[in-house]
Order: sequence, then structure tokens, then C-alpha cells
Amino acid sequence: MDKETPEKLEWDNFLSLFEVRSHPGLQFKNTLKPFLPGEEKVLQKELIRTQKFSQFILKHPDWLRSFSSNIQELKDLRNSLKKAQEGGRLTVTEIFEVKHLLLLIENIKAMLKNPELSWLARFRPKGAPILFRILNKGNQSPQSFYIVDEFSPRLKRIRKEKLELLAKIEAEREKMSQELQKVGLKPFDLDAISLPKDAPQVPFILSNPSFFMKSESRYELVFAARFSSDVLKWKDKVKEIEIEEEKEEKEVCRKLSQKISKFVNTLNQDTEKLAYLDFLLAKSEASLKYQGILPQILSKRSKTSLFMKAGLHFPLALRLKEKGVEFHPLSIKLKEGAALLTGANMSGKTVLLKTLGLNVCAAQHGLLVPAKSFKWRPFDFVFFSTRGKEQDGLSAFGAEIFGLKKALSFSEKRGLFLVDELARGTNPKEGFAINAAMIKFLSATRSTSLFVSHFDGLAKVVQVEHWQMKGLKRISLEQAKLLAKGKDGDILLRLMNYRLERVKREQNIPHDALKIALLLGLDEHVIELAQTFLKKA
Amino acid sequence: MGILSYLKGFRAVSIIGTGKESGKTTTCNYILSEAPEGLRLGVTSFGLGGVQTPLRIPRDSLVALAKNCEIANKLELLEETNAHTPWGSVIIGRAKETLQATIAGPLCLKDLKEVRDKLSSLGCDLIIVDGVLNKKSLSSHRACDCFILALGIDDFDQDLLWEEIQSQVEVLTIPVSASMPPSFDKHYALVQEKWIPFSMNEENLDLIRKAEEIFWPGAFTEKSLEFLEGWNSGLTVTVEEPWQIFLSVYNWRSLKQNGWVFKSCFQSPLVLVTLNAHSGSQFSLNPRECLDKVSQILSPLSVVDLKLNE
Repeated sequence: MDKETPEKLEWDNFLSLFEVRSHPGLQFKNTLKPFLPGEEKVLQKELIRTQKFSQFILKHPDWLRSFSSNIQELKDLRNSLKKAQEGGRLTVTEIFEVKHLLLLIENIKAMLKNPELSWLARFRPKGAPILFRILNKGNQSPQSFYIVDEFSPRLKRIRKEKLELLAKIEAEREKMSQELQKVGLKPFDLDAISLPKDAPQVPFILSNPSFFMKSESRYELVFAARFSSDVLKWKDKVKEIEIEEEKEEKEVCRKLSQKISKFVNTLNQDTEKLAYLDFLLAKSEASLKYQGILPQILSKRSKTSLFMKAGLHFPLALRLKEKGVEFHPLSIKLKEGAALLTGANMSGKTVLLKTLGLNVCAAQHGLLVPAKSFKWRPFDFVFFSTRGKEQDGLSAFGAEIFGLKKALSFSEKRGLFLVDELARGTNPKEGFAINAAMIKFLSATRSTSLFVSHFDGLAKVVQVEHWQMKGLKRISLEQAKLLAKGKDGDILLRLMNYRLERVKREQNIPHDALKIALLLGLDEHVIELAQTFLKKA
Repeated sequence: MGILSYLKGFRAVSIIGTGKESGKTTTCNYILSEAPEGLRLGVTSFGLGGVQTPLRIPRDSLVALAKNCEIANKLELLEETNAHTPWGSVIIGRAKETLQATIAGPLCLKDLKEVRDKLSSLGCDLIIVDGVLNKKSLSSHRACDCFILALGIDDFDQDLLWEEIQSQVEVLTIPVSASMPPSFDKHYALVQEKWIPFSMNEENLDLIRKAEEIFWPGAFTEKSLEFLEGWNSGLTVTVEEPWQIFLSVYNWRSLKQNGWVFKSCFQSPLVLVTLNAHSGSQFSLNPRECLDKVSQILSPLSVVDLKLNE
């Protein structure tokens, strides 16, 4: 697709239906690439996997819940793993995350052992149970991580010494607290005992050598405990030990990081597999929402290039549903070469182009298609040209031609050209000629093209397959006048026939613009005036 | 002191502070020190907590903090949450020893709720949320089941100080409305027991005049008053939660005098007010007199001064 086509087809809107649960899953989705001609076999496998997984999750809601809650725990640890691989020391939290990933991998591995999922074996993560055992030392739970004493005998010794000293300090503090409790004080902090100046306990504390006055303000006195020189020595020792403890903890982290570095490739590959599974789950769930079907890949020998039966443009269908309007499913069959599509205004020609383009893209990205049936031969690219907007200093016509020029530079490839009212902004004579020339040119290539046009007589000149939207064919202008009376524009939606028919004998394009204007509420006198001009012309 | 007795039946308590050196972390530390053995504690902070006074986290309690916090390696790490902070994502761990630290926690109510739910699912009986400066949103029902207001007494204009304290508490304890609007993202007027949505333009003033109650989405500020300017008779305004009212003491008082009534759809109860009247030797108030005065103006709410041991 060129830069503008995805936006015009609403590809991002469609992809937003695929809700991945993890950051790696999101990265997978954001770098999604289409399968191109030559990759049909891989694409077929991918499509079948999506369909099978959709059916599986539908059948096993408990499995889905559990899988979903596991996969949402997946984190992107590539930076930490790279750090370990480059010889860096991981922090405790980084090692915890690695352990968490290992556990997650084991959980998902176990879930994928379900016999009904044997076809997913290729995506089963390998895991690193040895590394998990290394990190899961001591009596910590599999889910948690701490630098336990078992990682280092030295650390064990240091911590033991620290705990003994802390216990001695605590015992001294407890003694001091008990002293204060004798006079009814239960201070929270022995280093800041605030008392009002007139508090009855003040004389007791002032006379007690175990306490000293720290500060005095207008209304209160602040005391602190005076610890013995032994306690002060112990406190200093604890500080020294804590430095040693930290050093040793870092040493343990360094050693563990070295061990982790040996499993970096496995962990990265497993993360990629889990990211894929996250996306597979997202697309399977979305397919269930839009009732997607398995698209069929046509062989090179097939005369048909693209066939869609009752296809939907799902993002548009959703928006219409919100307004209480139903999307009319669209069907068409195209051969290699060019075809022409005509029809009344507002009869859904542009929507058909968008639906075809979007669904071809969906199928080539391994997604199920919202249709009753969908068959196609994969394309090298999809190009959608629609009513241009002014851009980069070019007029709408300029932008349209510039886009086509770029797409035509790939004309030796097999593309899908969806061209909506080409050159509508220029004079009709030359516009007609440009359309005719483009259709002729593209019909001689390997591409498949569908041109929407309002130019009379174009079909006769270009001699290509001609499709027409049924539109308002069954209704005469007089009937439209009667129907429009007192009704709002919604009458048009009800009367419009959005079905397609193949034009067998060449005929002029439908002239329904006046009927539509009438049904949309344009003044009847203006319509009558327009009719007289039409007759003169 | 027995702060824990005020928290009976509640699972999560937030500490909200107003004024300078309000003593939020000190209040947290009191609760943590009072907890009996066997009570499984969970601690977190809304933003950066324990900067002036470090949080004293007892051994074996659970802490939710950003993973780049210094004490993270003193924890048995249990779970990583989806809450993000500039100091890394929030993790939950068990303190392997008693710790004194500054911790950084979730920065928005949505993340705080996730952290609170995770602490709860990990078996915490009581979750304590230390707040950052004047973050009244911590009283949200999404953050806590009840809250404690920590007041720092730092104003020399005493009359204004009492007025301010009284107004703040009045705002945070407005009554709960008997009726709830269909959603919290639109303005609604309650007319004959029906909530009718309205947009903020002058044509709707008539509808408001007829309303028994109006619902104001988001914050109710001085700007909201501009729209309702000239409204003298009593109007009942309902907000989603009390902390969403941001009015000056003067406006709050004058609206109340004019018969305005404020209500909320949700409310976490204010269970206790703690007082810090010890912010420096320059201070001109007697802490004991201060406690008496605040107790009197906030009666029947319980008020304690943690340092007075009273």
C-alpha cells in the first residue's frame, strides 16, 4: 500500500479491533507485514491457524480466561537481557522480571500442551527451567524473588551478624520504652519525645540520665533517648555491615546476570513467540466479533482474481450500527485486467472499493475476512485512489495524478487498483479521455483494477467488464416526487438498492442525480427547472 | 493513641494532608507502628512519599513502590503492576526487614486503584496510602474506603486558619445525594425526579431554575460559579466526589449563607483528623490550645495531636 491508501481504507480503524494485551504483542501488531505473492503457503497456514484458534477459544472459555491473564503479564525485557548479554549487572528488580518471565513461559507452555492445540507446537516457547531453578533458590515462592541467603554463604554470615546486632539494639530500645511507660508515656519515636512544658512527666525525664533534652520551643520540650556507648558502637557496626551486605548482594546479582546471559537468545525467541500468540489471540477474538471467514487463495491458473460475497467494511458497519443503520453486504467478482463500476450517487460505489481494498489487506495480513465468501490471488500491492485532497502544494487533481503516477511505476507487478472517479475535478472531455486511457493501460497489465466513473459512454469505449449498482433504477422521477413529500432524507436509505449487477449489453450510466436530490429534499421547482435544462441539452 | 481503632472495618485508608508539615507520613508511621503482629499491612504512596520524614515500613508488610526506588532490593519482590511512574513501573514486594525510606508510588487514581486491588488480593488486611501535598483526590472511593486528614498548623492569622480548617472539612464531608445521575460526564438537572442532561449555555438557566438538584461533572470551581452567576436562591449542586469542589473559603461560606447545598454521589468517610502544631519554635500557638480549638470547631469529628500523646 502507498502512504495514503491505509488511511483511505480505514486500515488503522480495522486494526484497532485487534486488542493485544502486552507490550511485545503491541510491537508485533505495529510491525505487521502483509504476505506477498510467492508466500501463499505460509499465508494459508497463518489463516488456518487464526481460524482454528478462533474455534478453540470459542469452545474453551476457561482456557481463554487463563491464557489471557497470563499473556497480559508479558513484559518487554529486551533491554535488560541485552544488558546481561553485554556483561552488565542486572538489578534485583530486573532479575525478578526475568524470573517472572520464566514462570510465565512455563505456564503458557503447559497451556499449549493441550492436545487440541498440537498444531501450535511451532509457537510453543522453549523456556529455561534450569535458569528458573537457579533463580528460585531458598524457600521463596516461584512467583517472588529476593536475594536469599542461599545465594551466598558470605551474605548469610553478614546478615546473621546484622540481625544479632539489631536484636541487641532493639532490646535496649525496649528497655528505654519500658522506663517511659512507668510514667504513662508511650512515645512513638525515642529520638523525638515531645512534651508540653507543663506535662507531669517532664521532671522525671529531666532527672533520668537515659534521656536528654534535644530542643525547646515556647510551649514544648523535645527529648531523645541517650543510648549507651555500646549501643552507639552497635549502630555504627550495623551501618558498616549494611555496606558489606549491599556489596555482596551486588556480587550475587552479577553472578546471576552472567547465568541469565547464557539464556538471552532463548528468552528473546520465546518473547517473540508469546508476542505472536498475543496477536493471534487478538485477531481470533476480533474475528469472532465480526464473524470472519477463512479466505480462499486462488491458484495462478484461476481466471478469477478477486471474488467477494456479502462482504462488509467492518469499521463502517460498526459506525452505521451505532446510528441504527444496517450495512448492506456487497458482492463482486473481478478478473485480472480492468473493470468499470457505475451507478447513482450515494449508491455505495466508493464503499464497495473500500470494502474490497480493506478485505484484501486483511486477508494478506493473515486475518479472517468479514464476508460470506472471499477468494483472491494475493497482490503485490493495493492502491486506492479516491477524491483527492489538496496536499503538498498540489491541487486535488494534481495529488490524484501524482498518486497514480507512483502506483503505475509498479505496473509490472500484480497490484489491485481501486480508482474512484478519476479526474472528476477537471473538464469532462479530458477527464473522460484520462479515464479511458488509464483503463486501457491497466487492462493490459497483470493487475486487477476497478474504476468508478460517472462518464457516459466510457464502457462502450473501453470495452471492459462493466458493473453497476442497482441504485434507484426501479423508481421514476414522478414516483420520487410523491415519495419525497413530507419525508426526511432517510427515505433515500430505504429506497436505494445497494446491490451490484453485471451490465451485459452496453447501456448508459444511470441518471438518478435528480431523483436523489429530490429525495434529499431539494426544492421541487429547482428540480423541474433542471429537467427543462436537461431536455434542452 | 489508638489510631487503629478508628480504622476498624476499613480495608484501605488514605492520609491527606493540608498545610505545611501536616504530618501525613508521621500519621502513616503511627498506624504502622500500632499494627499488631498478624495484621497484614500494605503500604504505598500517591506520588513521592516520606521525603521529609521517612516511612517506617515494618518487616513482613507489603510495599507498592516504583521499581527504581532504593529499597526495592530489600524486598521479596512479588508482583509487577501496570502502574507507571517516572521512577519505573510499580512493583509490590514484602519487606524482609524493617525499612525506613522515601517511596514513589502510583501517580493517578486509576493506577492507585490497581495497586490497591493487587495489595488486597495478596492478602493485606489494611492498606495505607500516604499522600503528597494537598492531594484531596486521595479521598476518592477509588483510592480508599476511608481517609484521615492531617492538618499542619502554619498560619498566623488564627481566625482565617480556623475558618479554612472548618471549610475544608465541610467540603470533604458533604452529604451523599439520594439520587444518582445516569452518567458522570454530563451536566444534569433533576426535575420531577428525572435527570435531564443540559449544556452550559444561557438558554438552560431556566431549566436549572426549575431543578431540585443539578449534577456538575468534574471539578466545581470558581469558573463554574461564573456560569451560575447571579444565582442567589438556594441551589443544590451534586458532584461525583467531594474533593472535586475547589472553592475559596470566602465563596464556600457565602454560597452556604445563600442557601446553597452541596452533595456528592460517592464519599469515603473522614474518620479522623490529626494535627501537627509543632512545626517550629517560631510558632505562636499552644499545641494543646490548638487541639482544643480544632476539636471544638470540627466536633463531633475526632481530632488527635500525635506528638502530644493526648
